[in-house]
Amino acid sequence: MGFLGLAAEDWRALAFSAGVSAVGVVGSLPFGLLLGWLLARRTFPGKTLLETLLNLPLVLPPVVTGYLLLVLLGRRGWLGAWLFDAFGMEVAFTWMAAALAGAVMGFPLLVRAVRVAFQGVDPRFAQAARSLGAGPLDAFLTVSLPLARHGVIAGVVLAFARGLGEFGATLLFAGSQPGRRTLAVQLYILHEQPGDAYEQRLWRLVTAAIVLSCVALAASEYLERRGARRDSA
Amino acid sequence: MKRSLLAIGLLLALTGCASKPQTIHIFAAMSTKEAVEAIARDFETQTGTHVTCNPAASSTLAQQIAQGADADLFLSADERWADYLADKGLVAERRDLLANRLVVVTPIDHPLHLQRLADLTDGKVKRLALALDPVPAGRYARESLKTAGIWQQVKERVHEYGNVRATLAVVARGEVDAGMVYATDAAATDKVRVALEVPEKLHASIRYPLVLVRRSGSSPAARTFYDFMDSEKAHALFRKAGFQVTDAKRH
Repeated sequence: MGFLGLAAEDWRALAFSAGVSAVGVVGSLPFGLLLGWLLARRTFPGKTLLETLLNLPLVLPPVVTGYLLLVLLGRRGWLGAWLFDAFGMEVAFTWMAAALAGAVMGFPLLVRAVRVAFQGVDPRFAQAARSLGAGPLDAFLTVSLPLARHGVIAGVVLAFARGLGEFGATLLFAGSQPGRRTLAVQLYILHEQPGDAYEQRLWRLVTAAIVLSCVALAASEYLERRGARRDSA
Repeated sequence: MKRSLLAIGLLLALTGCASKPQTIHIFAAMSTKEAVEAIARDFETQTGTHVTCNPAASSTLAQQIAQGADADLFLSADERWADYLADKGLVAERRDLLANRLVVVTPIDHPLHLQRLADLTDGKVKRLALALDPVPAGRYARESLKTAGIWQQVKERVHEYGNVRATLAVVARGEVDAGMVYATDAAATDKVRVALEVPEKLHASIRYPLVLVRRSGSSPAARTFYDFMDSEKAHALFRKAGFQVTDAKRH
């Protein structure tokens, strides 16, 4: 067995999953911050509709989400066909698709955490900064966001963990290539092969996945609690 | 009084059980789905025995059976998975039933025209869809590519799928440039074009053994259906789907 008891191919799956999930979360962060802040601080017509749309990936079967992504960005997709024909650019069945699938599935969790974080920050701080001459973006970045950072980071970690374990949407939209499989797909493939060697590898990878998820959840909880404590201080 | 009522009730229930129609479960390789379902319907019309068909990759099915799934018959797309069950003592009887051919398909409107298997190494073939390695179709495909000496060049472009129909579907959707499936699968859709037939010498003969699963409490109806699968009627339905019917060999 390889390093820490995991075979090379299994490590690769773990690393690939962590990598694409991180890329996905980082890429979706600006949008998550914007929408979370918007939902926390503003009311506007259509707000409920927006909230519903944002929560869809949480309740839709992941396979459905994956299918919709494919319909949108596949070679023959609404947007994907144009990208392919005009630029030769492919999204479906690439690492980008894996990142996007994970990001979409984790996005509701990110927005939710960001929203709660901003709801816990007194808007008067930002107003004070504005009254002292700071622009809106400046006030956001230097005052509001730092105050909300624990909740935001908690959301990032949670979205990352969700993306890490994503299976249904990833399978349909990103597919599986030898050497470029996400964690869940690798687990699935190990499970499909008989024999004690595979069974053992499966168990070890499952354990690694559980450990990773626990660590992420614990970190998220801790950060959220720190954020809550600071507000009540 | 109460006890005799209970006895009468039990007796009625037992007679009810005895006359309840039997259901036979056949686990069939994905590529045989339509043919087996048609044969099952025929059998049902003829005998009144209900047959359910569970189509999936032979690898998936074999493992389900090994783990105790409710199967009376197993039609595998390669000998390997029938051997797997035989090693576990789960084969009561077995006979080779069908043969098939492996083909390379492309989306119907794809600009690429492949003439030989080696053409898959062309730079324009950016994605090649294959079934996963444990799946018979995936195994025959990899064997062909390795024997032809082009596996190392194409393996980076391989996209893998859980069964041969999923492989076919992705070609039909135009998401990949080519895929390797059975000739019978290619015939099942008009959205793909058969680019070439894979020379048989490049892979093990594609044989579909039919297994009568050894299990406690197996019904005589299962054996009747097992024999029916090798009848002239069944052969005709298989041939209609594009399979070749082999001479029955008992193991």
